Amino acid sequence: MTNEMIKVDNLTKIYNMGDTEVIGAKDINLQVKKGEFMSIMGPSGSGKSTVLHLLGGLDRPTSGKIYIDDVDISELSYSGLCNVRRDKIGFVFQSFNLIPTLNVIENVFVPLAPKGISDEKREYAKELIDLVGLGGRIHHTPNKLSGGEQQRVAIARAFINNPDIILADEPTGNLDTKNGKEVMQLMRDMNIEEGVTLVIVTHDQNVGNETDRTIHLRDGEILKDIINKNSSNQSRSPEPPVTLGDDTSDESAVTY
Amino acid sequence: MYFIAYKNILRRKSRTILAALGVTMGIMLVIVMVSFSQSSDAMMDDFKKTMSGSIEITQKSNGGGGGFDRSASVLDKSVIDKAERVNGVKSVASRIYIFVKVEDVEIIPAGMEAMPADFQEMMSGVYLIGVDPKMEKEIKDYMSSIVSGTMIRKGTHGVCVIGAGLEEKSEKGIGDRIVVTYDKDQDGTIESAEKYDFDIIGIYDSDSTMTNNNIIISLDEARAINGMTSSQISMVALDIVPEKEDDAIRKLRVLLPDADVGINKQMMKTIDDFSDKMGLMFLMMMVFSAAIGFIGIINTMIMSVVERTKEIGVLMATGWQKIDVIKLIMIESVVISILGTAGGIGLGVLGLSGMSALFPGTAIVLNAQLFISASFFGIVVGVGGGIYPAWRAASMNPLEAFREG
Repeated sequence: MTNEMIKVDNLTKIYNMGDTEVIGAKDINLQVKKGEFMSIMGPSGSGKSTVLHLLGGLDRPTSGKIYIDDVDISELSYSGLCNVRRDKIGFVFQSFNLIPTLNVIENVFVPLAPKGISDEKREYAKELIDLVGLGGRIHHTPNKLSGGEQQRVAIARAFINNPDIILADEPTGNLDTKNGKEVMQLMRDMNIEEGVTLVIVTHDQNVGNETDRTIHLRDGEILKDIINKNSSNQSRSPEPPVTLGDDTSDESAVTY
Repeated sequence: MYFIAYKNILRRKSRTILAALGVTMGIMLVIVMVSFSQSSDAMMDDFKKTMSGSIEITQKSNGGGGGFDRSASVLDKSVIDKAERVNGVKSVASRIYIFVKVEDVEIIPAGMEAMPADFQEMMSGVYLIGVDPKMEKEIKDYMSSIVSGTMIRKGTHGVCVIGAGLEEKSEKGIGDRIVVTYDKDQDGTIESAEKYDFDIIGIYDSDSTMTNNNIIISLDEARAINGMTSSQISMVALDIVPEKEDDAIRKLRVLLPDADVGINKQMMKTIDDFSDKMGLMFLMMMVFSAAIGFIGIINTMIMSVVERTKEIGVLMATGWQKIDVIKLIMIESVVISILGTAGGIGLGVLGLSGMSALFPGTAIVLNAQLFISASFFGIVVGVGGGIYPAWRAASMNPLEAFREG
């Protein structure tokens, strides 16, 4: 058993748009260690979300391999991918994607619903809701919550199945600075407390700086792989795969 | 999963109510149709029982072939001799039919319960049937099926045997006197109406509501009432060897060109055909009714799936399998259908009870089969209406669902 939670080998994703081929990801090689908090940055169309969706089993690669906890998910059936998403991965989306008819705790229950909700899980959901600071609003529906609060619910939902990995697509994109910082802090806290591996997509450099490591994409390729020395969790920052660059810089980078 | 389905059903209450109302209308019609179908079947069975007796000869073009108004038929007695000579005819019985009203008793003929009151009043009455007891005994028709008391004897006056149906309706039994009014001109005026009374000496039971209300008297007394001559009768009932029935009837028709010879086999076939057609029509109407609910459900569920595209994508992203999504949509569809079915059963029963109250005596059936049929249609509508939307939801690609939603 390795220390790698995510391993990507020569990952390529090509979309066919009529007669045109659009490259979403090109020959990406990447390893993310257990408990690592990593961000993916890049301009629009650089392939950030494509890589995140491939890592989460929401999309299939054109070629290459993706290993989640040593399991090659690129070979899994549809049902197998569903199981990986249920048991190994939690998603957090930019637009929260809560179900408007359900209250806070019911939204947190959503991933559990098909298998039934045990008393233990009910208690855990309450603990999570307390942890994200919404203990007093457990029966509120999303329309009675602010954007920041809704994202907290989404984070609690992502954690309910005790996943090994949280994949977040622009989790602060729809939030103001204050709420954005709070959500990032919450994710960092949960990263520390739950030991979960976090991969977030962002175009905000400040958000990226809050993570242990940032990979920069351009045209579907990794441009840079940087260890953020000033991230708020230096103690948990993994060793960089390769450390290059100026010693005086607060970033250690691998440039491809 | 149920809490998600439940909350979604309540998301757009008016739409849910409309879809459920569609099912309600459909199921209500199913209830009414099944009830009508059952009462119609019962009526047909009853009619068949009535017709399954002897073969009849009546005056031509006068309700022959087992027609209804035998009281208007006049035959010459010579018909009996001719009929007896035909090969296959085992026995014959001559009868005189007189349509009368029974005092203080309203007898609505079977099948006319839903007709307007004045029409019912006009049609209200029974047959006073003059018979030859010896002949009736040989022919073994219902009139000889005496369940209590005795059969009338030949030539007796002032006595009668009544049907078990009339016994119940008139609350008169053996030893009581029954009074009838005969309007000879059939013009409904009191002036021409005459009253006759008879002592009840026996009760017969034909096991058919259509023939169980009649009054049997002697042939001579009937002739004295309606003024027929000694050579006249209303009709002749025949008992024919079953294997020779077709041949015998053919010969009778040649022998008696001025008479109608009822072919019970044909009549039975006609009744069966009619009954089958009615059954098919009721079934088609039930299917049509169910289709109303089906379209309502499928429309609602498709709209619900389309507007929740993104949510379904989220469910899939959080690990829901296709079958889980299918279950969710099916639960919603079936719950709406159950609500509609419950409403439909309620309204259907209410409607039938209302009809029963408006038209007393209407043959309305309320039994377990009715509720089983309605529930079956409800489930078919709920499951059938949910299949396509559920399949559509489960076929979504979570990523495309996010983009479209």
